[in-house]
This record gives sequence, C-alpha cells and structure tokens, in this order.
Amino acid sequence: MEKEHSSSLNVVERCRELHVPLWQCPHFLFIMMGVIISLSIITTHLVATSYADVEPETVVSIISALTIFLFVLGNAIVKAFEKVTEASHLKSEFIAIISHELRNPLASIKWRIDTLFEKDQVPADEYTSSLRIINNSNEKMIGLINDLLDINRIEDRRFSLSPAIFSLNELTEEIIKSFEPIAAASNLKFLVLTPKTPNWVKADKTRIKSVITRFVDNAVRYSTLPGEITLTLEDLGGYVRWSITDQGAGIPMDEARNIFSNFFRASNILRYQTEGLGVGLYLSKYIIEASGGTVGFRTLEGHGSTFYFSLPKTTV
Amino acid sequence: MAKKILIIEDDASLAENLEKTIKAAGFEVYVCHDGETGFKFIQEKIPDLILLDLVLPKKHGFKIMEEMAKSPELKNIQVIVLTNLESPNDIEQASSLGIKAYLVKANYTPSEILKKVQEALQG
Repeated sequence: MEKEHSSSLNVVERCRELHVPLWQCPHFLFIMMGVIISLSIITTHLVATSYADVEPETVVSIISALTIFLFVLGNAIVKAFEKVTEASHLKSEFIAIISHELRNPLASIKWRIDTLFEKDQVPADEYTSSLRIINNSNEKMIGLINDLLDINRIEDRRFSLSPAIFSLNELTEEIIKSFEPIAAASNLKFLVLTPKTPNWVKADKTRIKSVITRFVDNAVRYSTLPGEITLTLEDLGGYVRWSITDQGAGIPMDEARNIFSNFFRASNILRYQTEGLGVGLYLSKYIIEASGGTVGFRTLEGHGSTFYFSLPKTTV
Repeated sequence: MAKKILIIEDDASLAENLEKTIKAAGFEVYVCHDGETGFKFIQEKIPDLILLDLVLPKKHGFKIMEEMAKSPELKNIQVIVLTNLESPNDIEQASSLGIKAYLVKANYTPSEILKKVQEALQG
C-alpha cells in the first residue's frame, strides 16, 4: 500500500511504469502546468513590484507568450488523455480477438468430448480421429499463449535469446521432414537446394526453428495446389541466406507493406481471417533481427511469394 | 418430410461434428464451408433453418443475413447464429437482423445446439 502511494507521487517513475514518455504522460504534464502557472504568478508579482513603469506592450507580450505556452501544454494533456482512451479501446478489441481465437479450439475440444460421451460405443477409428482433433486444438492454444507471452516479453524488453552454434542445413532438413506428410497429402512438393557442407550459425536454435516452421507453414498454407515449394540456402560471404518460395496467390501490394507489423491481421481477423493472431511474421522478424540478421520478402500477386532471412555465419 | 438444415461453418471438423449430431435426429443436413457457397445454397435449396457462423471466408455471416432480408423468399428462413464472437455490437446487430438464437460455440455442445434447432422449428 505504502509502496503504491510513494510510486504515485514519484511521477517520473510512474510514467516509466506506464510505458509512456514524459511529454505524453498526463501526470507529468499536469505537474508541469502547475509549475508554470505558479512561476508566472510569481514572475508577474516580481515584475509588477520592481518595475512600476513597465510598458503595457511588454505586459501584453509576456501574457501572450504565457498563454500560448499554456495552450500548447493543455493541448498535450488532451492528446495524452486521448491516448489513454485509445489504449483502453485497443485493449477491449484485443480481448475480443484473443477470446475468439481461444474459443475456436476450445469449442472443438468441447464438441468432440460431448460427442464421445453421448455414444455408448465409439468405433476405434472415430475415437482416434477425435483424439487427434482434441490434440491439435490443444496444440493450437498452447501456440497462441506462447506467442502472446513472447509479444509481451518483447514489449517489456524481457525477450532473451540463448545463442548456440548449429547447422542451418540440418535444422532445415529436420523441419522439412516433419512437414512432408502434410505436403504429400495436399499434393505439394518440397525442392530443397542446400549445399552439402553445413552452414554454421550462432543463434537461438529453438527460436530459429520457430521462424523456419512459420515460414514453411505459411508456404504450405497459402500454396495453390498442386504446387512446388523451393527452399534455398546460400552462402553470401559473411552471411547465410535462407529462403522459401511458394507458388501461391501472393500478397496484394497494399497489404504487403504491413506484413511484418504486429497484429497486422488484427483489424481484419474478426471479419474475414479465420485463424491466427497475425503476430507470426512480427515475431519472426524480431527474432532474426535480434540474432543479428535481416528478413524480407518478394511477392507478385497471383504468382507466389519468397520469404527470406539471413544470419551471420560462424565457424566451428 | 425431413426438415432441411444448412450449416455454414468454415471449421471442417466442427461442421462435421455438428452435422452428425443433427443428422442422427432425423434432419436432412447440408454443410457449406464459406459464406459465398453458403448463400448460393440458400438461394437454390431454401433450407428450413440455417446454423450460421459469422466469421467466414468470402462472405461474412451478417452480409448473408442482410442479403436474405432483402429477398421475400429468403427472409423467413430461420437463422441461429453460431459463433465465437460475443461483443455487444455483434449480438445487437444479429438481433436486429431477426435471428432465432445467438449461441456461442464454446458454450454449447452439439446436443444442446440440436435442442435449440428443434425448439426453433417447433415454435
């Protein structure tokens, strides 16, 4: 309680806790306004007592200057409050998106379990397929929560990486292997063009794995069937460049600009996008850049997209 | 004659699950996975009741209801909204379009939904 009290008095500390810069923090702006009003009263008093014969024009210009200054400050306060209102609006929208995304797999699980309970005898194959759906829904929710926590860590600047040396070729092949059954079932072929010699990089293997998995998953998801997905690893001197090309629908130009932003799909998600939070590419970009690399893509609407990233090379 | 029920739901596994439960109760059940084919089906086959998801590819559930309201043959088809959205705006908009019930998928089981379907068709 006492701590709460003291922190509300320490404005700078409080603004830092709220993650707002001082000039946008209502607490700070109000104090500044108070200070300026008090100072101007004192100055007016001093000027009036020391200089009896002060020119009226000087008084007018001092008052005008102060008025303008207070007006600017007042405006900043209004803006700061608008920001607070907007944040609260974003928060409710965010909760609506998250609950929608969580409820989809939850409904899936609930319905399957109910159907299994309703029957006296469940055929073995129906039992297995229900369990698979329950398991997939569960995994989806775990992924969702992990993404949310990662976003939160990035925003609180607590996102940490544990770099280790590994072979990017080996990791890529391992991931592709796990995607092969899905690809084969949907008539997709992987073409993997990686050099025989391993490309060593020093990065957080689990995180890089999540980036590659997302890129491959997107390529599979947005491919036009039947199709081919090409993966390439190139040695660019100091860097290794990893890229994936699909033959899918591509990305419309006006959407391409925002593709790496956080919650890019958020505004559409409740209307047309039926799965995902739209944070995957944002997280991927963050991870690659935090590992000293770069990330990008090329797309041609109707002809597919190429997503790529590069990481600094290292030696064993 | 068995009543015709149309399920418009993009999640294939949910749709299949619900389809089985409703079929078992003696209804004639059809499934569409996106809003556009769903609306086409409504125009061609005129079902007795629609279980309608809101967030759908190609055509939003509200859009389907708005277009149905404009047509004299379609405006009397019963609609039960089945969604995972629950904002006051969505509920209000759905009610204004004249629905039988607004059900949150995660809060109802297929057998409970079946009960709502039977109630709607009786009453």
